[in-house]
Amino acid sequence: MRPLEGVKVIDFTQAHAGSLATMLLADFGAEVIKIERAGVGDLARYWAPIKDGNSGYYSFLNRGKKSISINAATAEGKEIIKKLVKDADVVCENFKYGSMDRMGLNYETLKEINPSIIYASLNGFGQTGPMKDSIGLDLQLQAMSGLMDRTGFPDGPPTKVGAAMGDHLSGTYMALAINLALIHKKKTGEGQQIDISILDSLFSILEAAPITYSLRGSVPARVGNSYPSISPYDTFKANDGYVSIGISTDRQWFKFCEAMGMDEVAADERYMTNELRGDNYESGLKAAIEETTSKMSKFEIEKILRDARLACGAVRTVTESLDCEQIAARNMIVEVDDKALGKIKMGGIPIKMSKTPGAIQHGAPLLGENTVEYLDEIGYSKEQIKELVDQKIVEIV
Amino acid sequence: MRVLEGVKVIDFTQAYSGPFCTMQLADFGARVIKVERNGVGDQSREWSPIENGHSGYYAAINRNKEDLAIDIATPEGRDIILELAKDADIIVENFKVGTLDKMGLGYEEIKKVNPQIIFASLSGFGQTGPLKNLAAYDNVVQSMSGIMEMTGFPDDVPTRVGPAIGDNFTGLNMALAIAMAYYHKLNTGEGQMIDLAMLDTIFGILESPILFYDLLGEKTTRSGNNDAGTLVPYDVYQCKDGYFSAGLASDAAWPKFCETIGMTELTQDPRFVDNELRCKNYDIITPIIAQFFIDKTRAELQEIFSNAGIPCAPVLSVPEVMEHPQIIAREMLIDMVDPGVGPYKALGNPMKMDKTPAQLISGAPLIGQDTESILKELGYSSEQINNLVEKGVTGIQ
Repeated sequence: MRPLEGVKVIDFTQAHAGSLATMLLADFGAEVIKIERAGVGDLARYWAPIKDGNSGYYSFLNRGKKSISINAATAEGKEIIKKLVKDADVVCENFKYGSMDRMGLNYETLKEINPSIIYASLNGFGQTGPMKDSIGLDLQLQAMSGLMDRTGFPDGPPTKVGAAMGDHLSGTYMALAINLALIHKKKTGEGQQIDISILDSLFSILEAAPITYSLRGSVPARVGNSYPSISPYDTFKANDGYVSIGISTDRQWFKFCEAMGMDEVAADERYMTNELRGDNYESGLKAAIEETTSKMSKFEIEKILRDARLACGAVRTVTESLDCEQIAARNMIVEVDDKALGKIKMGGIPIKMSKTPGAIQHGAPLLGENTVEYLDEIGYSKEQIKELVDQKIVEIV
Repeated sequence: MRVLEGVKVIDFTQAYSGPFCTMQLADFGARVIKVERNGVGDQSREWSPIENGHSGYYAAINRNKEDLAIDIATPEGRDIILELAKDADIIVENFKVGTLDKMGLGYEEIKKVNPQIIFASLSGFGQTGPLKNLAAYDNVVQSMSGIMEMTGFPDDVPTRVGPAIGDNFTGLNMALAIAMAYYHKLNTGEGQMIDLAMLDTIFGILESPILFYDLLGEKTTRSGNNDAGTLVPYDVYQCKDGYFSAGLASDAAWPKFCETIGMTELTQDPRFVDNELRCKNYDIITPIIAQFFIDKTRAELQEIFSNAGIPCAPVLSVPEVMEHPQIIAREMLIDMVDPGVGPYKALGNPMKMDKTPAQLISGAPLIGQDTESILKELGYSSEQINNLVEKGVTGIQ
């Protein structure tokens, strides 16, 4: 059994963040019915990588979902949506602020049809505040949130995170908020409105920087790959790439020197304690460590330090992480049979639950794949469906 | 009303990942009893910034929690935990794999006193697989997952994401897992075990490189602050008072972009006529575009690009974000008086729910602050408590 079996989600989300939230719900058993614009579909259907005209990105984000293709601007289209919402638990959307209002599908309207509906919205800046109307792409939100300012080297430019961090974070917050609302609904029968912004989400993960500013009135500069209070904690050159290590106690330090054959460095008075190693890091210790690491391969160093039970990891390319035995053992790469793309490999489910594990029941839907099924369910006859298709109000596969 | 009111959580977590998870639960009303090692406490109590001898780092992620100081390695300490677990809903821990088992407080033991318990474990590599016993720091997880290789500039070193995303994002995923498990418990009465790994969670956000490799055989790497493989211009440019991000949302916006920067001649240049050519000639076009930015301030640029409807944003420092009207309007900063560090601006919760909002009620607890009241609740007499304190089993304020 999956924990969200029996939960019905009417899903207007597109692109990345919102679709990620409903993907998490679908992985754990919710019935996610994606409402896509007739003739066009989700924007992510056009996102690279594209193979034979089909997007891998879309297939990842929409695995396990159903698709209804519909023209929601028409009166008949709206009527269908309202019928679908009647017995749904959740409505999700990540349009630009105000779009659902203009479509006549805002919270107030849908609440009249289904008073206990959970209505979750996600966008760049949220449903309130002076910037609620602005559009922000991942790069802009990373720039504004402070995340870029905290990433990179003190003498270099602020740096973007090399994954869609804002989308993943905000999508996960949205999935969590929806689950909290489901718990509340289960206990009280009451629905509610949820409002998630990507900017807030990114701002919430800046670690100690906000409280440092609040208490001190200033924030130290970004620190690159090192960490000021632990030495050595950094990423070092190997002869074929890079390797990261973290040594937090003096005992670990001497073990590290021994494992790496760095007897002279171990005997050096300048590096005897964590504090001394910090003081003399840039002026000598970093170079002394790299003198040894740069003559070895990254996986060789990783093996030696792991055998010594020290925290260490080679900097892997993503294709190298695909070969990592731990990632394989944890089923973090799964093969999904996708209708459009055939068998494809994608990231698995990081949430491991003993009694209610997640599962990917099927690949992403074709545009309008489930239109007929759901129209039938809400009482449309074959003739009525044919008429809706002819009038281009809905689309079927 | 708070959605998790009445939910009891025994929280063994320390440092950043686990406390970030239980903070989400406490924000929404769960009673989170933080169990700290008597006389020692959470390691983050020593992490900077330190104010009045108390850690701001600790304060920022432990608000709204209660605190029990106890030595769980003693038989009396273990008894207290088993007593406490009888009517608990959730246990969360982020020890090294197997630590609680060794103390006789693992899932199997707890299940004997409370079969419905939700037992959530968070670790670097997870409870299974060949690396499960290894220690991990955030930099090790970032290295092994591929995110570090994807972050930074192509001609420079792989770069760590500044804030410890291995910790906070895994903590957030754990909160989601717990909410789903609790929902399942409400529906069926069944508890279970949850197992989350930092490595899985961070690997899970790298969908794009996995899909590019699987579908097209293409290996992707870091591209600094641009997206030169897909869309040009979409970048961060140096300006008079810092850095500014601006870019196209799609190829169709190119003429508008040129007009905005007063370089309409670029639309005629055969090297730049379409997106594919601009991607190919990224190194030629970038210094030309960059000229527009170099002598203008972020505020000037914001006005110019916003008026043109081109996605844009200044790169803000943490102090700048904290003074930003959008962050303030979203109630992302809330005045808090912490018993340790005193007054500071606490981060609001990004999950905005209209019926069951997050509430920041109290600051982070002092060590052992609630030992006495919790033990009394369990039926211990004042005499017994004094006895336990004298033996060093528990600590009180």
